[in-house]
Amino acid sequence: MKEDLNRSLRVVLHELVRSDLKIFDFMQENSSGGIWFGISENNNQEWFNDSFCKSLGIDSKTSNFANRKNFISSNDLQQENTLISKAFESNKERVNYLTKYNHSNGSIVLLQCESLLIRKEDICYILTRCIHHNNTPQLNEDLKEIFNLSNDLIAISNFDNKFELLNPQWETVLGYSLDELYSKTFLEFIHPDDLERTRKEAEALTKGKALTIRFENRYIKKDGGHVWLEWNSVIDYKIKKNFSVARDITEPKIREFAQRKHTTSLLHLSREGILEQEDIGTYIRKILQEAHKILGVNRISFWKYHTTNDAIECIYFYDGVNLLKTQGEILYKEDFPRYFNAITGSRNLAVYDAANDARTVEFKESYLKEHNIKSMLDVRVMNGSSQLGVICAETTNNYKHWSFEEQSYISSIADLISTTYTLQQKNIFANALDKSEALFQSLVSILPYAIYRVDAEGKITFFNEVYQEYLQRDSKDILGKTSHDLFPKHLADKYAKDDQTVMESGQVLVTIEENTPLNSNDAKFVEVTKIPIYNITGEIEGIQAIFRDVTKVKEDDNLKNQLLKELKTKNSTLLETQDYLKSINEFSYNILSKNTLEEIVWEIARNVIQKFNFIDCVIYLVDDKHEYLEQVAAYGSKMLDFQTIKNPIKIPVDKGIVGSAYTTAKPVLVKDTSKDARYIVDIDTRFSELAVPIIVDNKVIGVVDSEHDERDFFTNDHVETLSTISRLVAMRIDHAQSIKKHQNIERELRQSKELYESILSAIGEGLVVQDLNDTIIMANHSASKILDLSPEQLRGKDSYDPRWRSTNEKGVALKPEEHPSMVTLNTGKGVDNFIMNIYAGEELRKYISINSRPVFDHNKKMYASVASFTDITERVTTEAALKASEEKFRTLFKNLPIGVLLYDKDFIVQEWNPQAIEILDMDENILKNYKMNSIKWDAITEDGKIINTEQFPPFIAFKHKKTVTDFIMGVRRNPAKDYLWIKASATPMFNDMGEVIQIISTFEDISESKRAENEIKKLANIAERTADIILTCDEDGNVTWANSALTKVLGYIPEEVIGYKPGERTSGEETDPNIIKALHEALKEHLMFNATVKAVTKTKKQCWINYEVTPINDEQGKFLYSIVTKRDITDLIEKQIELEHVLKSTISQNKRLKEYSYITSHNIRSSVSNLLGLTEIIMDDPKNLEFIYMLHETTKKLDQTINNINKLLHLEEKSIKKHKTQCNVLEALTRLIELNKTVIDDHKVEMILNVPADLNLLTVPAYLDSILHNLITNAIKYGTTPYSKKIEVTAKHDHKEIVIIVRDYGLGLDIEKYKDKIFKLGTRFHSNKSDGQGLGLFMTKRQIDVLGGKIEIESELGKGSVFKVYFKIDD
Amino acid sequence: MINKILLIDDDDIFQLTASKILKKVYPQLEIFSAKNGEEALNQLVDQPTDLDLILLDINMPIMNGWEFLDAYASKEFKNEIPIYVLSSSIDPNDKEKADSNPKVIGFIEKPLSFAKARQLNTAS
Repeated sequence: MKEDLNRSLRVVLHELVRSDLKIFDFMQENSSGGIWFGISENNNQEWFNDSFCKSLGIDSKTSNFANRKNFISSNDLQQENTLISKAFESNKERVNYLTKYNHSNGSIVLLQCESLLIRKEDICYILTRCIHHNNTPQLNEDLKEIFNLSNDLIAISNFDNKFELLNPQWETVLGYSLDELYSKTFLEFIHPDDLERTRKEAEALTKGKALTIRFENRYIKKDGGHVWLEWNSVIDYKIKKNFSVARDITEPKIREFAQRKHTTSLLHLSREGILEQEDIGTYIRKILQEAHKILGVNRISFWKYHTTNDAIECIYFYDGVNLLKTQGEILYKEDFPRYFNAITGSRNLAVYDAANDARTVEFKESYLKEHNIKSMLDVRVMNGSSQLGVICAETTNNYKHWSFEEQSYISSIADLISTTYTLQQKNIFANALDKSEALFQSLVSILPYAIYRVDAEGKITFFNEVYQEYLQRDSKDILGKTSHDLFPKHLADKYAKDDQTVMESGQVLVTIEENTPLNSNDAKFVEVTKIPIYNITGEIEGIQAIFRDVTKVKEDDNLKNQLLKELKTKNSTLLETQDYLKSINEFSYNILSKNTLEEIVWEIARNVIQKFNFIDCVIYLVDDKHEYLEQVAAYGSKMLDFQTIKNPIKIPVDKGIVGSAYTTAKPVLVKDTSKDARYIVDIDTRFSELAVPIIVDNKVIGVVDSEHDERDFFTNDHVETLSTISRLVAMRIDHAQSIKKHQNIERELRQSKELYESILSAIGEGLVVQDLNDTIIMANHSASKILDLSPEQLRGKDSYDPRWRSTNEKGVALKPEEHPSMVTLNTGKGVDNFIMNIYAGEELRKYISINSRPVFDHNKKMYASVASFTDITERVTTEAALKASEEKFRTLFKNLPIGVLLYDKDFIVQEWNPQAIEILDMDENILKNYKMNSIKWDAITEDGKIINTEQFPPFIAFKHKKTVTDFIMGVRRNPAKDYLWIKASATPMFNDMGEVIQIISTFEDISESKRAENEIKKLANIAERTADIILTCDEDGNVTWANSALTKVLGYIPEEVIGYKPGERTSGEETDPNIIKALHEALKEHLMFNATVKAVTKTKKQCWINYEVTPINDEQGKFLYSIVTKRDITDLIEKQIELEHVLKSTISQNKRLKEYSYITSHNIRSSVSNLLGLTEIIMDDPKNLEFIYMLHETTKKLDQTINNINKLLHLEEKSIKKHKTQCNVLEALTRLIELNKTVIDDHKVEMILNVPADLNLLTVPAYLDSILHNLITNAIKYGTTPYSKKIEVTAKHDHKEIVIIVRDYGLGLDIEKYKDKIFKLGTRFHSNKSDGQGLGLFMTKRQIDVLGGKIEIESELGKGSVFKVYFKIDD
Repeated sequence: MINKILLIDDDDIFQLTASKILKKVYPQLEIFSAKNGEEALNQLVDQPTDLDLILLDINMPIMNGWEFLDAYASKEFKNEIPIYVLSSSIDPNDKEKADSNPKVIGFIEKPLSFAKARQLNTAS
């Protein structure tokens, strides 16, 4: 049995060693020492190794070894068990202690033991290794090594408080040499604060009160510092020595202190009051200050997440000196992606070396360098599932390893902030809901819209007063009804179908439809918008309808179209709103799934155990009926299974200590449960108990309870601490509940908000809500549309903002206090239909009509005003325009130069203008009171025919239902007077049925023009008899009348020109169009005009016509017609032209004569000067006889010159015309050749004649001879060269001309050079012939001109010249 | 001192009489003659001589006196030779035209007498 047991424990140990390396290591470290293995609190089943047996002097193989209990005193065993089980409860892994065993030889063996506590499947195993101590200071050699190498401080001291033997570890830990330590009592090395306690413990030991003691104290190190030592002492009275083992527990002790410090700090921060009374900003700053101190960091800051989650912004910063609320640095996710990912990935970031840590290395060059940051501890602050911000603690003086405690501390701080934030949000939401509901109520009452909601079954769940009024029913007859209860079946069916569509599609429905309630007699029409309502899970749970009665406007198609257009715009706005609401929905649904109460209570329970060394902690919450307190979380040694409670304990609220705490709402501390009747035994009986109520909103909702198996365990400190914790629990529970509640509030708020936002956006009226300072805090889409500013831009403005430049209707600038919203805010009363004028943009002026109402909260305190307004610009401007146009019409009507009368269908005059009275010369009363056809009129037509009233235009217009225009008639009422001539028109006006209801009659006094017309008729008689053509033209310049002279002069009869413009028919090719144009313009502009122009008669004869235009006006200067006089002045013009011709020829003759005189005088003077020169030489020397010859030659030349002058003078005489005779060309040529025979022969000229013998020409023979002589002698003189002697003369009959051609083949002329000079007087071409005087060709040309012919020359240098003379053959 | 003179005139008789008179007044005078402007211009270009004076008739064939004056001005000769215009013209425009021409230093009405010949000068 023993063997089996031992074996089975060995198997367990074997498996443990295999499964956990730590256990293996533990055994390895003391492979030579003794080891025992057992189950907690069961000293009957243990396994030992051989070394263990050896140390007690037992042979393990011998059967008499049964149990460890046989070798250890029961007291020591009990102590050992207590020690180990305590260690288990406080989750310790190892326990060190010294204990005594009885050696088989009767001596006491001191063993230093270290137990490893192993939890496995609800069982606690103990693995203990032991080192053997000798009972004398003289250690065995094999133990000495262990003694020297041990990490623990081992001491043997005597009853005089002096050390007798110490291991070297003392030197290492305390810094003193062993000699120094031996030299004094150990009390002298103890920390003064612990001295008294240590002395007592030592006394207890020496005086036999206890065999072993365990305690902790501080020893002063040589360097002045201290270490925490955990002592385990055992006494041996025989030798009067203490055997002690001390372990350095400084490190865990410091951690414990830190934890305590952190917990205290957290408790302080969560102290009642702080959370709810202060605003979040102040609170965060307080937290930062506290955390700065507790963590001992250099910088600490709070960074707020942007709502987009892509950046954090530093808003609070504390460096130990300055506490700043900064609009500080912003870090963007896109710049520091690794940091953002890291902080999002884990709750907090503990970074030792920020510059070289992957998570924060991105800040190295900027943020870290700038602030000289070394280590960072960042924690995210959450709000439900969304990110609120980051707390950032940083060191700048040294690098810091962030302990677990520090990390959990900063996390707790983050929780505090988020709790506080949620609480505040709750308040804000609740507040907002209150206000929004009040606002909604005011809105619903101010708006002229009917609003109702139906659930999924179509039952009405909400409606406003407008709707009730519309339905004309009691509210009880509306609520819960469906449309089938309220409307005729055919309409209700349609509505149900529409509702179904909205519910299924989620689309907003906007329509205009008939909506006649059952009890209404008249058909009603409404413009209705149906919007789906969503519940928290995003499902549509009903419909909300907003509508207004449009029955009145329904009939008007234009308005209907406009309405539909408006509706379309609204529709699109609504769809946008709907999307927005949907996303809010999803968001709030997510929140709901987080932060459960269970999570919170478990967390608290665990913390209480861990932090305060309690054995257990149970949290009870009261059930819904307040009957039982139910265990919701428990933690303790008996509750090893985390977070599940099998068969949770239910305690009636009036039972037990827990019930007592619940009912009294006060902590209950029971020092000894056995003496308290209230105590209820749980699993085991515990001896003391502490129960603290959890109070939320002044109501006890539960109890935190802790029991302990020691009597008198709980102190007042514990009460205080647990109370604080319960407040924390309360807060957290409240937090969790408030999140839930908050979601409900939010849901309500959202629905209310949804309702009112959808109403706001659905309506065409602009809506703004203004706070008590008149600042706009809310504006809807229509408001922003009307005012041309986005809702965001509108927010913060007040109604008297200068940008509106607001004035009242009349344009007078408004004072701030005159604005409707200000009036409402000042008086608490509404303002209706206040019209004002504002600038909606730089240029755009608008008229708006405003209604304003105060908004009250639930305490009837006004906190805002709401104003609705419509853009009535169009209405106002249309009204103004209409007014202006009516005004214009009135003025026009009054000032028209014509008479206007407006008859009704019975011919009673309804309206008339002053001109009508003046023209008709009638008394207003007669006009007003008599039918037009009952007044006696004497009327005639233009032709003098008598007409009766039925033929007057108004009556014709009425009878034939058509407009009569320009009916001319003479009327009079008094036969003694002249007829009044009027030109009358009449227009009928119809109603929808096509019946004439009114006749507008206009008439014009044309007596004057009638007289003028008669005048014309008289004048026409006179005009008829004049030789000049007389035309009359109308105002457009068209001929209206012509006299008979027209036919005589131009061949046209008057009918052929009437309707044309003067000159239009008689214009020919030679007519100057500009003059005709000017004539027509003068006629059109009624101006005088006089001009002469060439014209053609009907028989195409050219003639000259003089036009004279005279416009004729009447006495008032009004144009009547133009008179055009046309006079034939052809003879005059022709004479004038002839005269001009004569004058021209005389002038040119004179000019020529002057030229002759110069040239001839020059020629004469040349000869004379030569004569004088010669004679001077001869006189100087009479012997110069050779000059006599020259004298002769010169004289001859002079004679020739004088002859030529005669010829010229002869040529200019006109009389030659009369001496023309028929000459035979060939004869003339032959005669000429004969005369010049000598010259021809001398020059050996070859003359070739090619002239028909019968070619005759009527001409002046002398000229013909002269022409031919000149041409031929020129040809001989200049046209022959030694190489070319040929001269050809050709004459021929060519069409109506005779051509004579003289051609030579001589030097030729440069035609280009001489073309202008050839036939000019005094031009000579050749310098080698001195007889030329420049007269020959000039003379020839003149003679040909006189004969009416022409001469042409063709020549080319070196090739010869051709002279062609053309003579016309006269008929 | 007038040593070289160019006489431009198409009238042979005037050439003869003028030369006779000029030789008498200026015995050392070398007289070059041209029948019209063109001939004179060709002479001036082809055989440049250091002329002291040019006597120029107006009414000439081919190139008259006025045309010569324009052509002469356009040639831009290095040494400008003073020019006298000789004419039997009674047209007052001719004298005016001659006087206004910058190249012309005098207008002599034909015939050229001894007295007139003596008054010839190389400067205006």
